[in-house]
Amino acid sequence: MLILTRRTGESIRIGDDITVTVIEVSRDQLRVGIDAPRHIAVHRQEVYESIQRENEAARSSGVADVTPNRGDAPRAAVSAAAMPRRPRRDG
Amino acid sequence: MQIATTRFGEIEIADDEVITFPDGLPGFAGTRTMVLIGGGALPGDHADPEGDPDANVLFWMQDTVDPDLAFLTLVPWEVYPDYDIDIDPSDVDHADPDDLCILSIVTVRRENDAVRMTSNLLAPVVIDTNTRTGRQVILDDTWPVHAPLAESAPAGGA
Repeated sequence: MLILTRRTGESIRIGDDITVTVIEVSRDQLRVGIDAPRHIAVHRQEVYESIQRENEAARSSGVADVTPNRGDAPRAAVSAAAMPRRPRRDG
Repeated sequence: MQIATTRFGEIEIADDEVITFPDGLPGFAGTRTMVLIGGGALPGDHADPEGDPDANVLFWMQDTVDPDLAFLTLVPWEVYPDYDIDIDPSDVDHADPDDLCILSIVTVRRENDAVRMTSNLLAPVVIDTNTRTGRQVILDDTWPVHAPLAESAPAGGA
């Protein structure tokens, strides 16, 4: 692992287009600003891992008996036009 | 095109039903293609009794390549009317907000004889229905990963 020392306001450049800047340092907290292109997803490590774990649990839990067929209606995929839209918010 | 699914057998799908997830989903890396399959109302019956009985609150999100990979999802506002989220337009390729289909992934946990269902409100699946591009967006917010949905004992042995 590469270890660098930086002061508040200083940055680290990763590759051509990612910049990590130290914004603020307090006793045991560090605020960093991250500039990265859209296709680089940036997440807090523990949050990303919790979503990863939840997706894996959701996948293995997905059993068809939760939503039995209504009558003998065959299962069919939904066209883009028929996908549910978010209700409009007032104001 | 025909696809094989573990839960629903062979299904005929059309191009305008296929959603591409260019980044996959956390835990399921790589480009994925999925279709939504209507899953009906909730077992606990949150459905509006005056509403369309054929309306779907639940949708299965089925991978078109891996027959066994499917997620149960739901339309969050049908169950959580206060679910008021802001999707950063840059997270969804600046899609028109009116084109977005937002679904929450449901986890079903079986503990002894009970079934407990929760919804992931922190990381909704957001689909641009215009381009049929999907992403799982992790919100910078405090919505729960395990929002309670339903809890019940099974009706019979599986």
